[in-house]
Amino acid sequence: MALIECVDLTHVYLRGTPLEAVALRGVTLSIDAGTFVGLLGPTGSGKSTLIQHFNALLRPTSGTVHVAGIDLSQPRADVKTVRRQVGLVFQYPEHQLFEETVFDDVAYGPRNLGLATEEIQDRVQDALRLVGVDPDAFGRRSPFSLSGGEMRRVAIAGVLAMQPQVLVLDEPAAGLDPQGKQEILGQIRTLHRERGLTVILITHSMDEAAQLVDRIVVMNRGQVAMDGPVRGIFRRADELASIGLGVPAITDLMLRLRRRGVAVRPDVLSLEEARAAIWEAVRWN
Amino acid sequence: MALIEIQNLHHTYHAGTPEAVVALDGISLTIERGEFVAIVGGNGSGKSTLAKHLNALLLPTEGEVRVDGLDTREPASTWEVRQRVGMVFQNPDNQLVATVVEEDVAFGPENLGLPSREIVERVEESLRVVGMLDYRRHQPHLLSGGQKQRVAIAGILAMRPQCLVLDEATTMLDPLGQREVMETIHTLNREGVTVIHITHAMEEAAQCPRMIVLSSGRVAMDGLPVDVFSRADDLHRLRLVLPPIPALASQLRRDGLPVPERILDADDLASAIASLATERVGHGRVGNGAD
Repeated sequence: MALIECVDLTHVYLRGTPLEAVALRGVTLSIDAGTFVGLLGPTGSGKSTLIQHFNALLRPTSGTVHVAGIDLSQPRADVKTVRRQVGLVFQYPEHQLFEETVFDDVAYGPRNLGLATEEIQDRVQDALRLVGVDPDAFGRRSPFSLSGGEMRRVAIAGVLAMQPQVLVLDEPAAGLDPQGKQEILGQIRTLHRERGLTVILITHSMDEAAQLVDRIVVMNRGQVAMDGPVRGIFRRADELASIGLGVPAITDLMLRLRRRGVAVRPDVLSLEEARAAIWEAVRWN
Repeated sequence: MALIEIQNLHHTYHAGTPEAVVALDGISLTIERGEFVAIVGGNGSGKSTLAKHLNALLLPTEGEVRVDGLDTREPASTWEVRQRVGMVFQNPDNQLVATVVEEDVAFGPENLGLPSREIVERVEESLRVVGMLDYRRHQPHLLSGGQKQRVAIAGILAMRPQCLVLDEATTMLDPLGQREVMETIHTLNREGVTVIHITHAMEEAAQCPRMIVLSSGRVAMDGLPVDVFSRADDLHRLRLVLPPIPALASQLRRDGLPVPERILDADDLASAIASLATERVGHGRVGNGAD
């Protein structure tokens, strides 16, 4: 069984009231350990509702969700184990910082697990290093004296210190300046590549998705509208446009070139690939 | 007289305490009526602090800000300044107050004590400009992010401001919402509203005729986007990056492909490459021209 497995998952908010809203309708999806999945879709398409099922913050109205073999549609499911394995980083996680020092903030989760002091120390230092924050220089500072990008990284370290198998991030780069964005996304890529973490990334940026993920799941109106390898998804530009999404700027350039009769590959994702494709077309046309 | 004149503006938070932080460190700027200006800069460069000085939400620690000739430090001018400059913030959910779209838009004009016929007219006109008239009786919380932001903009337009300041108003929106807001503010600018758009999205800044780059509370660059984006190394030092299209164009030029300089737009780059490709038809294989 896959690490995360949803079968016919439906979620209805405020069922039986005049405010009833169907957020997910019949989502079937499986995510294998060690993959990097991009979750895309317009506002209100059900992305946030879906990821909250992955660590049992929400339970299915109908259908099933299994995480690491635990059936979360069962009321008595072992939620604690699931929450330890799936770390959720919400939008603007720095709003949830609260301790007096960076160290204490990151240590909050591990302390609640009742770990030994030494183990806590190791985990905090490790987690801070993973997000590029020097534990010696920053550990004793107040989290509120940090820059926006640093606060964001400390908040993510707090989730990493729980040593989850799966990291789910909702727009981790929103509101950061262009370099802050690149730094944080680079660190997430490193976590995936070097620690083998399974990563699920919600983003509105097609460029971010193209840079990072292996597979894209597109949500629309509570359903999975598209699901496949990143290159294949960005070949379907018209379908993406019909649900209000687009393709990365570089992919869009290739499509414009093809419309002008230049025979470049359409499924280009990065600047490097575009460079090669353009040289080839200019040489051989 | 320019619409906004800023002279040697300094702003220090918690001035005179051990926590004092200098956010603006000597900014002088002039923004003319009808301009469309993008303000960019790294986190902590002073963008939002500057924006809040434009409608007297913050007052200078030193120096002065004049809006339509009014000194923002003058308490008697505060309301006149705020009628001239409206602000749109990042989170649309924090800016809507009423339970029906048209009531939300009417909130400002009602507070001006205008006659009800005038209020109705202003609400209709504002909703029409942002393309939300069909939603006038909808509940704001059921709208998409882009629609909410457009309602927030309509609420400000109903005050008939001369200038609209958007402080990262597209940051939390999905791609369609971002496009909707950008199209809306371009339309407003064509109708004569001065627009100041603060953003981290370099592609959005590239669409504005003038681009101001802030760094450590000072103006580091001020000019046409093509000129700003021709200084890639300086931008990098200021925690910014080139948007993908100019980045690719300059890379191709470095590789030796004679792509014209000053390209910002995907369509322009595509035509340049297409004409290079056609030129080479029949010339056989050519070298890659690298230096």
